[in-house]
Amino acid sequence: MRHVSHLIIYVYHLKKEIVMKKNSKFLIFNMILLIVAFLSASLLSQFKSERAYADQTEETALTKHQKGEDKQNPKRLWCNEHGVYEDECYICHPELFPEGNTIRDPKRLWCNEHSVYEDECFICRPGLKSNKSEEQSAGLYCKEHEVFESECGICHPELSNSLSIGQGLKIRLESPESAVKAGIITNVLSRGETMPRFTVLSRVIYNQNRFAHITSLASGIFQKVLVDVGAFVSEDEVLVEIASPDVARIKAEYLTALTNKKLKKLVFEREERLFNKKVASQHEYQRARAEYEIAKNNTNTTRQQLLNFGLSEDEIQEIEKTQTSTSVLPIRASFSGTIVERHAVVGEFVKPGNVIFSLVDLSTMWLELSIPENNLPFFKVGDKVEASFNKEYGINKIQGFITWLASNIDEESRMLKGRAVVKNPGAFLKHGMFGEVQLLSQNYSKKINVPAKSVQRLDGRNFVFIKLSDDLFEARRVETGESDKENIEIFKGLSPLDELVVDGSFTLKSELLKSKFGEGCAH
Amino acid sequence: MNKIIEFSLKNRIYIILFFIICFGYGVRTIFRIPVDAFPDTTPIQVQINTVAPNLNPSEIEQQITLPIELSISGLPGLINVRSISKFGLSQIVVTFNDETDIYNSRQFISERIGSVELPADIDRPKLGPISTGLGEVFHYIIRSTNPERTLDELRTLHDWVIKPELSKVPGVAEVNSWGGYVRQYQVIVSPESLVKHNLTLESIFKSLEQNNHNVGGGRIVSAGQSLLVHGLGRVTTVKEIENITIKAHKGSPVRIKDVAEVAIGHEIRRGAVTANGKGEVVMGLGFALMGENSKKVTQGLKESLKNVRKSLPDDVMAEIVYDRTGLIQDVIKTVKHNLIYGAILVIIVLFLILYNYRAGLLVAMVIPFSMLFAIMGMHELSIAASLLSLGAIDFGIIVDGSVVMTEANLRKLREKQGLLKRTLTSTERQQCIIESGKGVIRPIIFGVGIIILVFVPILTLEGIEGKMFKPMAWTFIFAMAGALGIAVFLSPILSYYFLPGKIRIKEGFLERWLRTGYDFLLPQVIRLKYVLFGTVLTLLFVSVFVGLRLGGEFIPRLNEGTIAISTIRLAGVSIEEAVDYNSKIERLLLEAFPDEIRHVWSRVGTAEVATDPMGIELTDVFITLNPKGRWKLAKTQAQLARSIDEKLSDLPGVNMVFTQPIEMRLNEMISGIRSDIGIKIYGDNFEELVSLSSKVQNTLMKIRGASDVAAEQITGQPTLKIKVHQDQIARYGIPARDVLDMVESVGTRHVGDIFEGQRRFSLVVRLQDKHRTDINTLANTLIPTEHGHLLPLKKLAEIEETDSPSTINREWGRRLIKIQCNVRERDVASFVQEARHKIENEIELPEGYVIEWGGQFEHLERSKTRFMIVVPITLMLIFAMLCFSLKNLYDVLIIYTGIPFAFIGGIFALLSRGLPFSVSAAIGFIALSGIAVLNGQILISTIHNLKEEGLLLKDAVSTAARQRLIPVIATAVTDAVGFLPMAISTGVGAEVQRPLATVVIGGVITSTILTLFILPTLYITTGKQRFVS
Repeated sequence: MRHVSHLIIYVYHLKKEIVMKKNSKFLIFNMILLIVAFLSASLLSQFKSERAYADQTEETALTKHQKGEDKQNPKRLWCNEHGVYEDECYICHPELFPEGNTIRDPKRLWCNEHSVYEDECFICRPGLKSNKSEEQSAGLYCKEHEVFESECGICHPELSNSLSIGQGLKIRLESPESAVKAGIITNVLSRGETMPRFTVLSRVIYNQNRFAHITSLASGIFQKVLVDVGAFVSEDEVLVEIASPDVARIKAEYLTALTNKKLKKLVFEREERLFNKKVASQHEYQRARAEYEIAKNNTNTTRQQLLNFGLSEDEIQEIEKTQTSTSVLPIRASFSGTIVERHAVVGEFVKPGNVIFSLVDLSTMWLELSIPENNLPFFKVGDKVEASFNKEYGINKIQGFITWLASNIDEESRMLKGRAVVKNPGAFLKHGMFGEVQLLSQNYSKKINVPAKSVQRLDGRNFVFIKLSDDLFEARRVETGESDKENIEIFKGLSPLDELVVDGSFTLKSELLKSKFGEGCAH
Repeated sequence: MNKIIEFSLKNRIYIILFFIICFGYGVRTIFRIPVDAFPDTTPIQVQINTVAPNLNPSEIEQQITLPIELSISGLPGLINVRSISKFGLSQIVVTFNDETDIYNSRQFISERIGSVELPADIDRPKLGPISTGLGEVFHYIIRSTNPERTLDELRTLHDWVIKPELSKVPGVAEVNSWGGYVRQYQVIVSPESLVKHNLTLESIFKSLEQNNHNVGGGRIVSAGQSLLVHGLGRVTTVKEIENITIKAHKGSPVRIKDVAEVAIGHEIRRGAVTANGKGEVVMGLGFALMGENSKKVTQGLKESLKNVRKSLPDDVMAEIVYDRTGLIQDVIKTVKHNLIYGAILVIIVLFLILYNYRAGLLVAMVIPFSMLFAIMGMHELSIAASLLSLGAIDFGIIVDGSVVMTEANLRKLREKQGLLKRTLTSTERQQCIIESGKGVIRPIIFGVGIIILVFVPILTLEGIEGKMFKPMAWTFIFAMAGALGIAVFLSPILSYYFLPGKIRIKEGFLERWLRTGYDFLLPQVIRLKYVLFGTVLTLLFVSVFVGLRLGGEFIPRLNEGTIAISTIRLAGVSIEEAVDYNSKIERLLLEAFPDEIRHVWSRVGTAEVATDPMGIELTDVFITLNPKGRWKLAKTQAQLARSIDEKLSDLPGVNMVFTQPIEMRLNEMISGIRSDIGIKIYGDNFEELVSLSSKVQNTLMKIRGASDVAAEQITGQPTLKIKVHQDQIARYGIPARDVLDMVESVGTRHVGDIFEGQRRFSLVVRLQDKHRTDINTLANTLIPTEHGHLLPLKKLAEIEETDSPSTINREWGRRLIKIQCNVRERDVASFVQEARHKIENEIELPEGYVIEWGGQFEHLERSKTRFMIVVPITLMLIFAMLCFSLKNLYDVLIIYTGIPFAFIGGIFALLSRGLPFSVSAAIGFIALSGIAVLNGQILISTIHNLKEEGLLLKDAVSTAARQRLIPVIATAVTDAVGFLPMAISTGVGAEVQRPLATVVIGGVITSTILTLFILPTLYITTGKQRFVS
């Protein structure tokens, strides 16, 4: 199909070509026809050849002229782009520009703003326009736009690629009224104390330092569950009672050991008295003493076992007092907090280490931050942050501090994990909530905030437009920082005294790139 | 042939009856004939528009334009296929040759594109309205005084209330909406909440698609009664959409409202309209069907709009800003002016020369009769009454035959009366008329026949010039045929009845003066014959020289009485920016020209049905004007356009071209090039094309006369390229679709339709604004995947800000770039010759790249080629006719001398008025060649008659010359004055005929001098030798 269509095009062109050559002059043909009817054709042909000759001479003159221009000095480098010798090409080599590298005349005032002598600065003194500066830099001055060729943005928009931050190109508008007509509005900047806000994603999690899983050390059956999920418990409050044969056994053992200890103690005391009276043998005395020590030890060991099950001293004393060896084991809260999870059901068997409850102190929460790589330098441990959440949560902004930043970047998401602690009054924050965290930093406040619509992008670089005079503007490359919906901050390239174009910057960008427009054409 | 007069005199009742019937029929057709401003020059064209709201130009080209182009190749009658791929829109324009029936070709195309496979989620291609370049007859704007009313509501009102009403008007091809917001139900997803619920975008698309259907369930029959089963699952409100469940997690459903906000928003806009500096409005455009009476259609639309106003809310106003009736009325005024003044002038001249009011009236009667004949013919061929058909009739030429006939009759009657010295009897009168008729009938038939004949080759013209001048040629042919019939059949009868019984023997004073002068001059001229020949030859040379120096122009610009400014901005401008700026321009204009401008409105981008696929960077500003009487700052439209240009020229950031609505539309449709010259470079590689185009531009700019040299802005669309990293997605096992879903949702992803009663709106999914406005946020957007990975977009794709093509143009399946250029202070033809030569020499084309020349000049070139064939054929036809008539080669050659001599006058007339050579002038020359031989023929045939009567050569010549002085002068002067109003008219649309009329007037003057002086001299000088030998 493609081949066929190509063929059609070729044939079509060929046909056109032939037709074009044939009908060079319709009028000539027309006249020839008439005159042949009446007159000899020779006169006309003579006339025609004369014309042709005239054309020819004109043409040769032209080519000669061109050839003369093309003769170049082979020893000097030629700038093909701009059609002058490289060492004369001030567009490629602005450092060669006369004003730029010569030592300044100390007797003349220097205009720092526009880098020319004050008496040549037609920007500051429009009255000087087209006098000296034009003559001095003859071929380099853009007469159409009345700026230096190397600064003329309209003639050389491509120069915008080589500008460094803070440099700019001039844009001369058609007339002083142009800007007003186009609705270009400028504003003198004022240095503002600004609070750049970096926003990162965050997730609310429990403060892991105040989070506990309540477990039992003994196996047994839940006998009584005293609290439920959501209950607030204070420290050492009994949460659940477990009927544990182990506990009962140890208790019994303990009581036995106690009794045994008492007995052995009596034996020992008696033997000691007898020994002192030299009634008993040393052998017997020593045996009684050893047995007493063993019994004491045994008591201590079982007592420790009871303690290990979570029984308190009081409870042990209670056991001693009551001499009961019930199997009930109370489990207590390790700190005051809220029960957030419960696995205990009465009658269920529990093994040591099984989580019975999760207990958490909700007075503070952690925010888990995911910080993009490019924002890393701005985040530090101890920085103040402000967390905000979806509206429907009904939570106001909450402030807190960064307490930890990870030492590694997450391999998959290319983000740095961080942590901030925030207070959680009324326990509004829930584990797993998503939110945003903004960094409230004092460190980067000396910057200029400009309306976001005043910054234009050109080949991926940022530009703002500065008004120099009624019809002269400058497109200046700047470095930008963070932005929100309305404002964008400028790190570098703007002076607070500049008159910034806040409305109509696209119009100026268009004017700068006017050479790329083309005619309005639909197809 | 001689018997014709005898026959008609004998059957005069029947003949009169026949003409009366014709008259009645003609009067009847007057009221049926369509009326239009200009002849329609649009070729047979079908537009295929495909809308894909989110796709960028290269994807549009690849996925839509290319397959459609391939599918339509090889249709019968196809002469051109060109296409344009823009953001969100593909348009293919298929042009057929003029013989093709538009309805057939549309049928063919529909069949072909029905089988084209296109991406699933875009609309099917649609054919553009069956309309022409003249079809855009009606613009109105919908605005509201209530600031609360949104553009969305206005657009909805227009689309669902006004539009259906206007579409009912007979002859309306399409009512198009432009601007406003098209309502759309949007599900605005926040990527964070997707992460939260571990959902993918895909699952949202799916749930929305699956939860929005109605079905039919056949019917249930029970106990003899059947119930229809109707399953309803369509969502209709925002609330219902919000409650659609995406998935259930442990018994708790996740609904749309948990992850997204549902809102009524608007579609991505491709166009907007602002009016009178008061901000955005909604605009409606009415298109007339091809071949319809646009005056009627416009009036119908106007009335319909008036009716529909009643059903609109009180604060909503529908205001007509442009309608074609105004222009048509203006043109009709021009036509009337031309015809009425032409007729009056012709009649006055007739009275003066014939010096007999009855004879004058008798001849003048031909005018309405031939008009009716012309109208009958036009009706048969469905030619609209327009400036170039009816408006181009020259009554002077039409009356020629009757003038000659009546004058001969009058003379004979007078002679006879003088001889008999009494009033003639009716038999004698009859006899007289038969006799005198016999003498002139042959030259009349052949003379008028030749004039008819020279218009025949014009019928073979092609393209715009054909469409423009064929109606004129037909009209002329019909009118002339009618006039010939009257001259031959009716004039003798009328002479018989109405010429006075008692004729004053005395000649009219004018006749006497002329005769005296001629009697004095002719012998002098014959004596100084060699001086005369010398002068003539010199003049001939000078005119050839001058003719070569005359500029070339295709067709003169028609004045429409409305100004359009097509403006262009930087590619990538936002609608809001463009709208703002346009309002500023409008306010500026209204402030500066409060008395002159009636309405001013601007159209940005494209309409709903993209009849002209403009990008957002293109705006057409329309200006309608108040009646000239109220103007204060300018006198003519050209002057006004100049001062508007001055006012706007210093606006930064925008380029403007001044044109007119119809002109703009025609240019777009015909070649797609609005400038004088368009150079097309074909090739495949975009960069290569751009570099070639800059070379060509540089070359062009160096040529004298070049202005507004510019390449089309086809690049420079800032683009955010998001390229999926194949190895990354492979590592995480994520399908590219997951990433691309996210990219797609930056725009909108269509997932179904929502019905509000009968009104249907689309339901789309898109991301939150912050992810669509800031590149960084977008880059860091987390992509939820089925496997639960959470990865930012930039990890999976390369994100890059680049420039990309804003428009991709193709012609005959190849990419091309166009360079436009206007020519100032120089004629286009010579400029093109020089430019072509230079470009051929200086620029080397890579293999497979082709340069082609087009634009306005293209038509000039084509018409020249055609004229090269047409003109010789015309001359040969005349020659053949003359040979047939005179049966004497020598006489034919003598008469033939009239042609070059007439041309001298034509050329000098053009020169003196500073008009360039154009198609219009060429037609004038063709007509002139017919007119020029008429008089010569009359003279020569008289000489023949006299010689047969036995007179000597010299006596025969001078007697014949004196005898035929009056008819020759009468026909010549009527020819000239008939065209006079046309030549000097300044009315709307008079520009086209001005060169034609000028050429004819100039040519007639010189050819009359030739007939009266040089022809006899030449005849005597050369004829003698022949007789001696």
